[in-house]
Amino acid sequence: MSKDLNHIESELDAKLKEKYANYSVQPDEALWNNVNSRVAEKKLLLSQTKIKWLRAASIVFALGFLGLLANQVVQYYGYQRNEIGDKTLSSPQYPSQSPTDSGGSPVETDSAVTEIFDQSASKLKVDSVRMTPNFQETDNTKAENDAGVNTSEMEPLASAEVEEQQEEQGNLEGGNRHGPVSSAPARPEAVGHLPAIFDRASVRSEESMTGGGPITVLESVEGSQEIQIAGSEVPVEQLKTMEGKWFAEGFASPSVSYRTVAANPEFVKVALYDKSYFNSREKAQLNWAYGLNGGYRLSEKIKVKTGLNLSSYSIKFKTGGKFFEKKSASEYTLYTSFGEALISLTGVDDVPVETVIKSNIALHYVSVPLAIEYQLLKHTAISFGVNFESLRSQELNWESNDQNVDSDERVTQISGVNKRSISLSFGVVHEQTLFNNTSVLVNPIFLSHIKSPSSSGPYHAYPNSLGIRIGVRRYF
Amino acid sequence: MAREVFLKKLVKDCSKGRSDARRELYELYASRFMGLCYRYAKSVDDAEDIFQDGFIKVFENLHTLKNPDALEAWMKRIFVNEALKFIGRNNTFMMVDYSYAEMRPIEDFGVIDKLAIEDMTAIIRRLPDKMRIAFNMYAIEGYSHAEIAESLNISVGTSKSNLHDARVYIQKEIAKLNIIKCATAHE
Repeated sequence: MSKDLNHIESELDAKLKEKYANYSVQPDEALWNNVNSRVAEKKLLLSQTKIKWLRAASIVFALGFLGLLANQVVQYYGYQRNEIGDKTLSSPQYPSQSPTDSGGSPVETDSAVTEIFDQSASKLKVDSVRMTPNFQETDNTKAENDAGVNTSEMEPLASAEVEEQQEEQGNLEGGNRHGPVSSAPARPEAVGHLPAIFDRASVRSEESMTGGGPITVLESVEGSQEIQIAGSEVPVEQLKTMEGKWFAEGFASPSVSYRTVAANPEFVKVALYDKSYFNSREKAQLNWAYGLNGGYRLSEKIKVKTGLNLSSYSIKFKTGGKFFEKKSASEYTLYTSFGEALISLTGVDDVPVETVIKSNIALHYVSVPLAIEYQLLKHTAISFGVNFESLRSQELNWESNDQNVDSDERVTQISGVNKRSISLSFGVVHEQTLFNNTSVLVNPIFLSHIKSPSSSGPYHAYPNSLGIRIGVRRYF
Repeated sequence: MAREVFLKKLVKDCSKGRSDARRELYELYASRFMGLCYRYAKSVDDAEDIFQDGFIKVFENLHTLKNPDALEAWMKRIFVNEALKFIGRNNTFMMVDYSYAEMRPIEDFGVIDKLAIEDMTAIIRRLPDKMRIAFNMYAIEGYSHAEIAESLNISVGTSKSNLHDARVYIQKEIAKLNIIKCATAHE
């Protein structure tokens, strides 16, 4: 009787599978040498490629950084030079104006303008504005200007007076965008009020690019608004500026953490621990930090800030069997430089000294920073800070090279870690304007704990981290 | 448990690039996968090429293996893929003698038991490429026709057809071998 075809085939396959279950052929020894050398070769090639890319990236990064720095320096010193030049240029170019009969006394308008506008260390160019020569200032205004007060009391001349003055000044060349044409370097005609943003601004004259005579350039830190000139509103182009004293910022930061270790003096007294410690098998771990900060601009140069930050320090290193201490039949204490971990090891009589424990310790903090930023260049500041840190959680992930010293529980909590800690920070804050009142921050920062998380154990470890905070800041 | 821990450590050490761990892994699986390469290749040289390419691939990609418990199955897949790639590169299609198609399959499994594994392997290696692949993957490795079809970019029907042809071919070869053996015994 013939069996069902499928059944026969499946039985045949089962027989074959069984036959080939342990089928093996010993390869030639030379094959291993080939495989090993080709793997090593490929790895070398890969690492060389990586090195090449890293070198290229480093060069690009260094060039970019140098370019940025050079740009900042050029802008900074370029501005300084302009400012000095402006002072010498601006005064003689402003025509002196005679006293008016509107109750004002004679005013040396050149010096008045200088006093009004030349009080700032401003670097931002606001706009180029062509202005009419009809300008008058009251005694009060002069006095207030001398004191650096808003020029809101500047008054326009009566139109008849304007015409008279224009006639006196002769040729009217070029054109104002919205008002009468001026042939001379102009004085702002403050109709109504001159916005407060120009309280601290410098003024300089330069030749118009489009012809039509010299123009007056206002430069201010504070930003641009609309200025009324010769009875009409001249909208000054909105620039990317930072107004407001208060600011808020948020950031995220990839960071690498590592520890510095010193012997616990208490242990040094009783045991022969090294006073200094070095573990070449430690590996920095990548962590993330996040934060929200608020701050206040005390002056153009100094800002202070505080907030709430979340940070983690995770360090991978190898420790040894000598740091195990039997606590009970199945429980051992593993001393770490961050605290003690209780580890359950069933059926283990002793942990040999030569046992190597690979461990990964992670400490998670919430912190309140107090930081100060000092503006060095137009976009660059340095920051110093103190962080008051509070421990959120801490864990030890461990693995033994000895199969006997093993447990299903590889993650355990660490006890004896101080809940409070303090760290210091130092960073460079690069701030680039995105749009009005909003900037993007790139902030390489170094944080170092000045207080060890654990006061027990043979060594004291101080977690450190190096990261780049990338965030957004908004001024109010 | 101990083996799992051992494999996990071995995989980890290999991923770190440790040469001694690589050697250990090689020693552990070399003969088994050389056997696999023998079944897929037509010659010893081809088998050795597939074997070397397979191990290089294993060492290069070991860090991507998430579950070390599945190491052997993962390696088998790599070696089979390397074999398929190799055969694809050196594709020499053989004409199939469809006169075999009318033959009945072996019903006496004792024949398989009695057949030396070297003889059986030699028969498999004489199979035309597509039949050999189909037979190895389906009958020995245990892949489904759908998986074979996907690997070779053919239809499931073609895979079934290749397997059927392979079975018939092997049956004829076994019959021939038995005839020769019987004749030798009578002499």
